[in-house]
Amino acid sequence: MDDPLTRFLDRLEPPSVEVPEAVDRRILGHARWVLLRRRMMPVLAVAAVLLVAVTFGWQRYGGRSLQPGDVDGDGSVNIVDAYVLAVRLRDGSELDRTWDLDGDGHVDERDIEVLGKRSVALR
Amino acid sequence: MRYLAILLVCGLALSGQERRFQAIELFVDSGDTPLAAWQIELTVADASIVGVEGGATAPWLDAPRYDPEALTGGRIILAAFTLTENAPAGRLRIARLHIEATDNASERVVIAAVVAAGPGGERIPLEVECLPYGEK
Repeated sequence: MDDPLTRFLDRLEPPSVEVPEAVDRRILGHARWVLLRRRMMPVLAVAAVLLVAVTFGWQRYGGRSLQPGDVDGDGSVNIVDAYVLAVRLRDGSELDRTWDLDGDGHVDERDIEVLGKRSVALR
Repeated sequence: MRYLAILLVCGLALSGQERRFQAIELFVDSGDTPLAAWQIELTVADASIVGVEGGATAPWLDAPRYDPEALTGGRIILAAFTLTENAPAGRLRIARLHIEATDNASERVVIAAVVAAGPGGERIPLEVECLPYGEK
């Protein structure tokens, strides 16, 4: 059948192009990489936020316990913290501002008292 | 009011569970390491802790720290530390508890937690023993 419509449609059909196998593999590889990047983006974003938070926390607290009054850094507050603070005050050792438990701007005997009370409190 | 008092007395007499005051001695043993700080949490079942006294040896002669709220129940946390040079080591009586209970309260003492440190603040093991008043 040689009607005008068929001739018109024949003209619209693009000529077949032979794509070399190497080019085909490269296109496929690139498409895979783009897809992987899109999938990994949220994971990378969360990891970046965590990294920033950990770095900030480490700089802020220097690896010390975050629990107020945990002077010896063992993860709990008890009479040993009061004792260690008393020894540091007696010896004139370096004091950390996070040990100012009564919030009066000084680390002193009153903070030892606070620690002593916390140690025996029936929570 | 008078009838209420009579009823109360009769009730106590019939129950046969007379509560009496007892004292419990708290002994610890730190081995060869001098004891610089200690904290002991204990409970006494079916009893009321009514008083705390110090121990028998310096520097533990004063009553240890405790929460005054503990004097209404059977659970208490005792703690003390010393900055004394040459703090004693070995077996020491560090406190005495006064208990109100119906029978031998020392047999119902449960040690819940123990924390102890030597002079450098390092943790040390501490054996704890509760005995009726007068026993050593």
